[in-house]
Amino acid sequence: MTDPHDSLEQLRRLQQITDAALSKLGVEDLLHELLVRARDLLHADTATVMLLDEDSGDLVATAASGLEREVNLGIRVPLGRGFAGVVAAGAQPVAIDRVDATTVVSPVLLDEHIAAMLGVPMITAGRVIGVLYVGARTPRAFTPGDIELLQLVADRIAPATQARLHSLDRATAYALQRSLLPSRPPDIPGLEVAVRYVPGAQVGVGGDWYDVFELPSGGIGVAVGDVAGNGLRAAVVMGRIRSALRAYALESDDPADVLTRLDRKIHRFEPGAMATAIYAVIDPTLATMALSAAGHPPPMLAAPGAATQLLPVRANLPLGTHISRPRHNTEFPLPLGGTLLFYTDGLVERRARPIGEGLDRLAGAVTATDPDELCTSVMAAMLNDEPAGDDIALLALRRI
Amino acid sequence: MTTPLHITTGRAVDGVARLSAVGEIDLTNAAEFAARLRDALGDGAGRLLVDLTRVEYLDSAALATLFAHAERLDIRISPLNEALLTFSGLDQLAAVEVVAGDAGA
Repeated sequence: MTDPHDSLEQLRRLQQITDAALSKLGVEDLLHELLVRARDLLHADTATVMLLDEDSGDLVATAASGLEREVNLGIRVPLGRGFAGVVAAGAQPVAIDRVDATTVVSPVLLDEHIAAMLGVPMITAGRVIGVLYVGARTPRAFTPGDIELLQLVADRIAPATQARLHSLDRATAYALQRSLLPSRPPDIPGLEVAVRYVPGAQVGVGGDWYDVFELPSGGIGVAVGDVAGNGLRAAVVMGRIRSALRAYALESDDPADVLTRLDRKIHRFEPGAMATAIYAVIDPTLATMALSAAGHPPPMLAAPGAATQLLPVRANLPLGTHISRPRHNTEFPLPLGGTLLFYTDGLVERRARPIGEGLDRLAGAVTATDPDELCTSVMAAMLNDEPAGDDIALLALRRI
Repeated sequence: MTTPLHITTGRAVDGVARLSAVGEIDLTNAAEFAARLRDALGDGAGRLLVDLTRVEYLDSAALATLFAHAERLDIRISPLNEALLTFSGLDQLAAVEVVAGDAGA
């Protein structure tokens, strides 16, 4: 059906375009341009890309040429079902010359009277990330040459698609993190507060957060936490957990109570998520604080004229373990001029170095100084000017 | 950069199932650690001795795996990682023994 010489020439053109002009396009535009060319190349009436959504396990129509309705209607097909689902599940090309309810799921294919289809998996790094398929409105038998050609196109676009999705994920996670973690904490009379967030060099943005807010009682709530995992998913879950903690903080001045409610919320609405957190409530006079730790390392306290100490906060289970145990508070005085440093494990955990060593080093780096300067000097001392492996959140405060 | 992870499983002379890990448990091999731990636990209700005394580093994914099966685990860990199990509260659920160096081998 297709002249091999003509096809090879077209494939060469396709590759040139992929390399040059398309390098600047976003994922939708990239796919759309390639679909137009794949359609021409195979003399097909339609060409569609469905990408695998890892959360749901469904293939989602993402770009189309000739069957734009599939994208506009948000057609989804479960892995293993329908035409695209079978291509993806088998990770093999599939050609059909009978399009009806027994071979396809998408109603658009039936409405549009597609007579024959050829689909190939989009594979990168050994994983199926989606399906590329073409359709013909008139009966047609796709040849082995057609299959080979379409697979070449899919092999060509799969890595570019994956790379763009990955960078989109990273950029979105970064934007989300920035919107949730203000770099300037609120002005609180009697307290100096400084914060830092650093994404991990290998993992990018993760699920670390800090928070500080005034409570209706006049007290101050301070939270630092770490959602397990990284990337967009961890950042999204972090956003929900952080905001739920704020809501419960409005209802209770008891940190253990706030974390108990938060844990219950995570069990019900964030199955599979696990997080560590520490939540402190400083009383309205700023003289004392109550802390409750959920699987999280305690803060360091440097008081003027005293040795820096890791506060002996009683440990409670992390959030999301599905094990219900009573949570406890530990109370401490907050001395005038004393600096308190909250952090996430990325600060004290280094590969091939045990956490005990990191904590000792941190204790040596924390002094009763200006919180902003403290954040800067602690990061320098702990990271040794190397990029952080895991993401890090820091919150330092001093009573003045 | 990552120290390879070596996991061995078996049954001690006293009949207690055990799993020993050597190296680092991080993002790249936490899934392998979880799978081997599940296999070693089997379907029964017996306890499993998890020897982590020669694990230099374990990340939060590894901790999550230990939490998921905590009630059936006896964990041996080096003093250097003791703080991790204490902060996390894992020592409240699993039996944790702090063992220096290779004494647990």
